[in-house]
Amino acid sequence: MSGSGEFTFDAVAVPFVPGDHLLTALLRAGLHPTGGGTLCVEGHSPHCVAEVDGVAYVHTCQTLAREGMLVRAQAIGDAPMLPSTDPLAQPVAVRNAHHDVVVIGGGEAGRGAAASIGAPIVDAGDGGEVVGIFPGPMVAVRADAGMVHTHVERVVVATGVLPLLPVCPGNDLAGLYTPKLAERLQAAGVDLGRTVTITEPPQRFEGADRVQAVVVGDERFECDAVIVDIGTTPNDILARMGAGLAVDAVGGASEITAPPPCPTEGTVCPCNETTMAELAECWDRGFTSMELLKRASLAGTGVCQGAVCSPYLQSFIADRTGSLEARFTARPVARQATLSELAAGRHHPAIARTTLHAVHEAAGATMDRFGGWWRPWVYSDVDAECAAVRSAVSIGDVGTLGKFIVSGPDAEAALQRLVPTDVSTIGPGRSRYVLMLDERGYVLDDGMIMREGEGERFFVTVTSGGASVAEMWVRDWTADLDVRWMNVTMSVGAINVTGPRASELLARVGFDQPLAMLRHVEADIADVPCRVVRLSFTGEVSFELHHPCARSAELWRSLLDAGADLGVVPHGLDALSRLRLEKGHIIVGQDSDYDSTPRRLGHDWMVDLDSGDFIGRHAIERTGRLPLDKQLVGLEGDGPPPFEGAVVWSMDGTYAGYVTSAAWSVTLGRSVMLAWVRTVDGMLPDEVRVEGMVARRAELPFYDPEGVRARG
Amino acid sequence: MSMRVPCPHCGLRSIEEWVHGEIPTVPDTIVDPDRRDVDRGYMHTNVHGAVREAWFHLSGCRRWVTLWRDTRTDEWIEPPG
Amino acid sequence: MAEFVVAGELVAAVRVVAVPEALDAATWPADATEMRLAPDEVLLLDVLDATAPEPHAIVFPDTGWVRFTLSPDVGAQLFEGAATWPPPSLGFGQGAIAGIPAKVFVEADCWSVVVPAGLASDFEDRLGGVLT
Repeated sequence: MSGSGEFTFDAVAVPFVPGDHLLTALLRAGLHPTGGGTLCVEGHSPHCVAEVDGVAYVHTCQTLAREGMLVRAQAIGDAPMLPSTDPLAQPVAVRNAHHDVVVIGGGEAGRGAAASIGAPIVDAGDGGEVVGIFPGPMVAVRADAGMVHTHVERVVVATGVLPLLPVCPGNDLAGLYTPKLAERLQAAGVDLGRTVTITEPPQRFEGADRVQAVVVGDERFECDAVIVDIGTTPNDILARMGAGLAVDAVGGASEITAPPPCPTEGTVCPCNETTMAELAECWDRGFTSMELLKRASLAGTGVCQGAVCSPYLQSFIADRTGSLEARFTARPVARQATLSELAAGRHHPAIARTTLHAVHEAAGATMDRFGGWWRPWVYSDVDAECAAVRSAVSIGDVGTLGKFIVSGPDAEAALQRLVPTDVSTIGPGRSRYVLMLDERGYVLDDGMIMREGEGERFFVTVTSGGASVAEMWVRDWTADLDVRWMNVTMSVGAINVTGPRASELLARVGFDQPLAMLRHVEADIADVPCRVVRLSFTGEVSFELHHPCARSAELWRSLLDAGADLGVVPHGLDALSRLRLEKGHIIVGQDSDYDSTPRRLGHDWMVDLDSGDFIGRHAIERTGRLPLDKQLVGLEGDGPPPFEGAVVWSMDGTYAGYVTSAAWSVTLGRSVMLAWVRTVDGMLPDEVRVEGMVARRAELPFYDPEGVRARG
Repeated sequence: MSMRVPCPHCGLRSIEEWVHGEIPTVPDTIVDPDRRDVDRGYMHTNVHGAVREAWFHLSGCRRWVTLWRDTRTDEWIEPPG
Repeated sequence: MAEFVVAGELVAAVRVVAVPEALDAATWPADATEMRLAPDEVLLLDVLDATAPEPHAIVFPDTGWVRFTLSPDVGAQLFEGAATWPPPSLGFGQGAIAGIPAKVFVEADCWSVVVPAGLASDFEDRLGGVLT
């Protein structure tokens, strides 16, 4: 409850008594929130808004005065500063409710409707106010404790009628009140001076800042205040907001009433200061319907969302066409709302963590977000991590890979359709690096296919961060086949053991059988059941250990312990990215673009046109006949590496492409890059310029071109 | 903010749980099979009315469902007979 | 204050993908909590293995789920504060809770909310923001 006290309005201390709304106290002190204009108590007139405790456009007629409030005058056409802070940093609480039907409005029509259909009423004297009706439908209410979101099948709008606000010269003066407000003010002991009540639209109000006289017809009345009682208009903004939704209006809000006489002059839209003359100008320029007139004149697009102008726009159009056009569509929100209020119940995207997250943090790793996962970027020294891979052994967390189990009589046929390779030649215990293309022959993703056992069962991995897109893609394209997919991305952990001493390390933890390149086998490693896959992304001998993710930390620890004297250290994503770049391996999404065919990527060796039908085949055959216009190539230079995204210039200074990956190779003693480069007359340039450095085109891979090291 | 999409397996769920996978339709004026194949990716008829759509329930069953929607009102409708 | 475990616990589970008719007809270990994730997929809590209901079924002992056990009061409070869909009156339901894909199993005296292990940490943080 509010007692007596003071708030400040700009620099002025304004006293208030118990029960005062801000507006009442301001008027008692002889102040007007916006300087002038007709005031109501419905929260619809734009003339009572002010900034209250840092929140813009607050209706002072709806807000109880409290001690120490900071109120600042705000021109109704002003745009307030946007907050510079994250609206979710201090979240507004939300309460979700579910009903079949709700009624908005607690008046006679609302109570009647609620009783007859047995529906609850919202916004009925509980201090809440309806901010808007959103698709769903969902009725958003601002209450003391936060936002209330009521999810319903149907909404009944029973918001009654509003007093008509006058449009004529002088309608921006102070001292103009609706009857209901005048009553409230008089009850609160506010002295209005000499009042005149008018019951038909006036010719004009006269005065300097405050009204001194009103002219109605031929008569002129001197006064200190005018009680404007010139009729009502449906309060239908929420009903119009529900256009296309299951929203019905009842009672006054639903009535189709004759619009007021069309004014000849004056400001029709106080929010945007649009005059009747400007409306006529817009009309003459051809904006001759409600929605067009609104957009051209801006009338109805301000703070009050048409509370003043909508009946007059109707009369303006009716005067010219002879027919009553419906009011313009309303959009949420109907009342001012802060970004935090609108963000209530919303969250930032959750970023997944592998089961090794705490282990990485304990090891001092710098964690960062990549493809929807937290990943260790670097532990302490990226060069040392690279050196461990190249000269000893290192382990990396690749549990973020997208992973699927595929089974069923049509499993092979399903994969055959999804990738441009002959899946039937991937025998039991074998695996293959594959591309996934879209219908246009562009690379969507890359990954590994492993056949399990003798039958129609496979394990598939795809790029980290690509799992959800891949899942949507494969389910969509194989729905007609007898195939089962299980997404095990978050259930299977994966650790990459890589380096010339990788085999030696694995032998110490119980895996000493020979495993050729691209073979896989199930085995217990340090007592953890694993699928061991021999492959290589770093260019060194590598084994991927797939295992139940709950046991990742145990396996990680065993590997570090067993290899301490071998110099085993973990490597982060920074090191991995540099090492694979030395090998010229692409990262789909970083080095590939939206229009990357295998040929443009230099990966056409991965497309087997003899492997039957696959997605993208038709496009590949067609675009394969066109001249090659650009290609992802290797570049090397002697200067420091450019930033990723740097422009590649031809030697004559024309644009040639851009860099997608770049790093200083400690192993090779020069900068290595992957870059898109355009062909000229069918030829790729031998030299280009990147950030002022001359870069030479180099054959890929930069490191160990014979692939001797990965084969071990 | 809160449009709801009916999942035949999970029930009505907020649109934020879903990925919209519109089924693109190529304008009938394009008759060349090669052009149709490419324009499946680029050309949409942008139907004003009943449209068949694919929706993936990412935060629920993680399956595609086919739904009909009236693009004028966002109402879920029965497949046209 | 109601008594509940607000910390998630790794749950023993088996996930099975099989043709829907086979899942419809299948019987699971008596103490399993059955969550039908999709017509062709079921998540069984509190079991370590299950029999394949058809020859091509995928039966996967799954350590990738974390369970939050809540009292009915707290469960209802969680839904009111963080879900835009109503909880099932009994049994299984799934959808986003606090922006995270969650599975819920409602019993008379106890609600189980299960999320992927990789998102459990974020989920736990968000629970704290909703439950008072």
